[in-house]
Amino acid sequence: MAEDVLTSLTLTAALAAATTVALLILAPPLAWWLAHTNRRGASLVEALVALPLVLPPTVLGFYLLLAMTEDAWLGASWRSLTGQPLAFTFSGLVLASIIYSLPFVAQPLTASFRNTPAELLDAASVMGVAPAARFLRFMLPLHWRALVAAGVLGFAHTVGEFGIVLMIGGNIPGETRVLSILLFDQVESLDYASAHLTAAILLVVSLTALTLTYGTLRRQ
Amino acid sequence: MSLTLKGRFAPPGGFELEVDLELPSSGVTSVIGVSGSGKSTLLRLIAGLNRSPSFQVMLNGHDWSTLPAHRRPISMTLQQPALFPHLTVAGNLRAVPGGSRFDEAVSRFGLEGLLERKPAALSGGQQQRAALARAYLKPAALWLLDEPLSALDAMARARLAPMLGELCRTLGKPVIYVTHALSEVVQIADHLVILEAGRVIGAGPPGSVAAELDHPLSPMIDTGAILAVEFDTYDEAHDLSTLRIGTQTLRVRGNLSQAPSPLRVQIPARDVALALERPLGTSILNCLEVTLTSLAPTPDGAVFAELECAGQPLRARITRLSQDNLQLVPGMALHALVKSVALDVRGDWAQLPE
Repeated sequence: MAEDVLTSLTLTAALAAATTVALLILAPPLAWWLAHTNRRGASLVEALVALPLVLPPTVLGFYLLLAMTEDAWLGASWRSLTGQPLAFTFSGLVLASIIYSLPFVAQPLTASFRNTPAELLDAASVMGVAPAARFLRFMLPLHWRALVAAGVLGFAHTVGEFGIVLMIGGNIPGETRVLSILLFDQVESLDYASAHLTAAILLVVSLTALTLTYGTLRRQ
Repeated sequence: MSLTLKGRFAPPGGFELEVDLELPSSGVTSVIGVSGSGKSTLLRLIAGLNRSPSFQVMLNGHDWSTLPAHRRPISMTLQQPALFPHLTVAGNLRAVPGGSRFDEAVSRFGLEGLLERKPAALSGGQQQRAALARAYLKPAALWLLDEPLSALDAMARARLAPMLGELCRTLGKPVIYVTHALSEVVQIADHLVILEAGRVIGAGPPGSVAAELDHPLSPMIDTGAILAVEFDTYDEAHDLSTLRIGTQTLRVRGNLSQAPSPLRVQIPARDVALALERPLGTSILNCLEVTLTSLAPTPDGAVFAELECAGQPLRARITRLSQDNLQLVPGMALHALVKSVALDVRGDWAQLPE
C-alpha cells in the first residue's frame, strides 16, 4: 500500500516538475508577445491559451486522446520520431499537462509583463541592447516574482490534475497513475485507510509549497 | 557636417510634429518648448524610440531612419532616470553592452560609495547621476538629454547642473538638450531651437533667436533677450555682482567672479519695464539706457517693445495703455528697468553649493 503511494508520489512529482520546466521555457516568450503585440490575431491566441480554464478537462482530454492515437497526426509523428506511443504514456501526460497548465503560467506572466515601465524598455534600447537580449537579460530578472508565482501555480495545478490524466493516461502504475488517480482507485475499492494517507499527502504537499512560495514573495 | 531632421510625424491621437531642421553637429543644441510642444517627441525620433517612414534623421550624411534604437550610436538620458530596479548601480552600469571607461564614469559622476546600492535607495539626484554615467559608458556619436533636471528638486538641480554643464563642455560630441526652461541652458547652449505645437518657431544662435523671430513668441515661453556681459566686481557686503554691458552695468545677486566669461544673461520680456526718465526712489537696481527699435503686438493683446542696449537686442513686454501713455515711437531713447531677480545667471550655472 505505502509502496503504491510512494510510486505515485514520485510519478506525480516528476510529471509536475517536467511540466513546470517546459512551461517556464515556453510561456515567457508567449506571454511577452501577448503583453506587447498589437496584432489582430492576438485575441484568438489569448483565448486559446485561456481555454483550459473554462473547458472541462475531459473535453481537452478527449481531443488530445484522439490526436495521440497511432493513426492521428500527433501520435503518428511522435511514433516516427521516438519509436514510442504517446497515448497512455508518461510523455503523453507531460504534453497534455503543458497544454492544460499553460494558462496558469502564461496569465500571471502576461499581467506582470504588461506592467513593465515603458521607460525601462526605452532605457535598454538606448543603451544599445537588442530586443531579445533585453528580454532575457533585463525583463526576466525584473519579473522574477511573477516567474516564481507562475512556476508554483503551474506545478501545483499539474499535481492537482485528474480528468485529463484519466482520459489520456489511464491508470498504469509507475507510468501514468499519479496521486489523484491513485486516490480515486482507493476510494472506489473502499480502501479508506489508504485514501486518507494519499489525500493527506496531496493536501500537505500543496499547502506547504504554496505557503513557502508566498512567504518568499512576501519577504522581498 | 550636420544633423538633419526632416519630415512629419503624426502618431494616433491628433498630435503632429513637422520640422525641417539642419543642426550643427558640434556643440550644444537646446530644444526649448512648453510641454506638448513636441520637443521630447523630436528627441525620441532622433533616438529611434519613435520611428516613421515620413521622418528622416541623418547625421553627417548617414541616414539613421531605418536603424532601430539599439543600433543608433547615441547616448541618451530619459526624463526619468529609468535605472533597472533589480540591479545595483554597478549592475546598471555594467549592463551597457561594450561599455568602456567604467572607473572614469564612476568618478566623473561621483558614484563612489553608491555602486552597491539599489536605485530605490538613492535620491533623485543620485539616480540621475547614475543614469548619466550609464549613458556615458556607451560609445556614441551624439548625446541626447531629455529634461535632465526637471524631475529633481531645487537642491539636487543645483548640484547636478554644474556637472551637466561640465559634461556638455568637455564631451567633444554634439549634444541635443531638451528643456522647458531656457535658464537651464542659457550658459551652455550654442544653438537654440524653439518648438511650439509641433512646429519650429525659431532656430539659431542664442543671442539672435530671441531677437530675430518673425513672430513674437508665445507668452508661455518668454525667451525675452539673451545678452552677453562681462563680470566687473563683486560687492561682498550686499552679495551683489556687477556685470558690464558696454559702458553700462547690471547688478545681480551672488558672486560671479568665478563664472566663465563672457557670461550670458537671460532677461524675460515681462521683467522689463520702460520709463521715459531714469526713475528716482525705486528698489529696482538695474536701469539700462536703451533705444526703441520697433513695436509689435503679441498674440494675447500686449505689445513687445524691441530695444537696443549697447548694440545688443533687449525686449520689453508692456500693455497697449503704456504704449499710448508713453507715446512710444521707434528711435526714442528710453530707460529699461530690469528686476535683478530676472537676470538668469542665478545659481544654475554660476556658483553653486558643493
